[in-house]
Amino acid sequence: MTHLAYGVAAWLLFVGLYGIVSSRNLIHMVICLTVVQRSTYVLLIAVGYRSGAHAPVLADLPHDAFVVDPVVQALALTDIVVGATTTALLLAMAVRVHKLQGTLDPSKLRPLHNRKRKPR
Amino acid sequence: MTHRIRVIAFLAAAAVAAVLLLRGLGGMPEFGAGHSPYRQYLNEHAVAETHATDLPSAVNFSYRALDTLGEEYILFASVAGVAVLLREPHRGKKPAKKARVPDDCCPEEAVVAVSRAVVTVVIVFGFYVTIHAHLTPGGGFQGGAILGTGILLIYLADGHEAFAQAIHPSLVHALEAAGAAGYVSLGLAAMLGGKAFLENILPLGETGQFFSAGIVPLISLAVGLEVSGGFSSLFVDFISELHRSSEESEP
Repeated sequence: MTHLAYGVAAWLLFVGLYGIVSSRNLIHMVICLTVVQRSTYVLLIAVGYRSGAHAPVLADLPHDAFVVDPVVQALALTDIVVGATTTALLLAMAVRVHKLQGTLDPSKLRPLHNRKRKPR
Repeated sequence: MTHRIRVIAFLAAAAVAAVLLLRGLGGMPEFGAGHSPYRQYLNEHAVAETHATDLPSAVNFSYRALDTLGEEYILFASVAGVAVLLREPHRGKKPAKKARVPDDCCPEEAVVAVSRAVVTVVIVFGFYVTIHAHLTPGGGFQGGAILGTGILLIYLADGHEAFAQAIHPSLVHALEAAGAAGYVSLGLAAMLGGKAFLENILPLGETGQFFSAGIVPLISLAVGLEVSGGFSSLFVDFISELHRSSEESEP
């Protein structure tokens, strides 16, 4: 059981990838991509965890208290916020695609230059 | 390529990748061992070097401040991308008939009451989390997200019109620009003083006091403004898009 957290990260990665590959809706696809992203957080936090250590905030602790790895936590927390905006960017692309093509199904998308000739 | 073939091809590729990945993960250090040299260095020296007691903030806004600058600009670029994608090219034609959007989406009274009650608290808390980055858990990224939530509560409580009145797009853009420019200015100010980009130029103060840790809380404030401005800009764009399409679809 000592490697369970790594297994969870791998599971999230593959579940998310399966969702992306089998997706029939661009919004569903974006959400699956965020699941893939979350697998990296689980991996990072698992790598930094140290049994019996404190959270890396020394405000109320002696300054030499033993803490878990703050580097991976810093990486994960910036990525959560930055990832939210990149997700918004992808969703905005989905909105545009729906406006231009009238569908969110990736298999029904057509090249844009063909679309112009077709009167809607 | 049909759906079925694509899924089968993925499953075959994923099986191979999974074997390799699980082998690799099997060679990782045991969960809870966490013997990273960076962890050890920061544990021993971070408080003495930066005078910040929140180590993730010390990492983000001091040790790897340059990387955080890059990440802040990913956020900046994404928000700009959303604006480019969602804003309509014809700027002159403002929807003059505001009343056309039906208020059938009126929220529950309880939602309105709670949102109005907590909105100021949330915004104050967001600033608190942002400017206490060096002392307690938090920082510009988390605080900015809380501030963004507070701004979205205005929409939740009072709807689109009140939101558009309270949160003018130029305010949002000013917040975002102040955050982006402030971060770079802090870095350039260090260079003017003959130090490296983003090196600390302010007195470190006494550890645990509010005015301490040099430029860490200032960078955090810049990031907080950037994140809150960016999130609000996303809300403004998506909400106007929502209302524009509901106007278009109306007969």
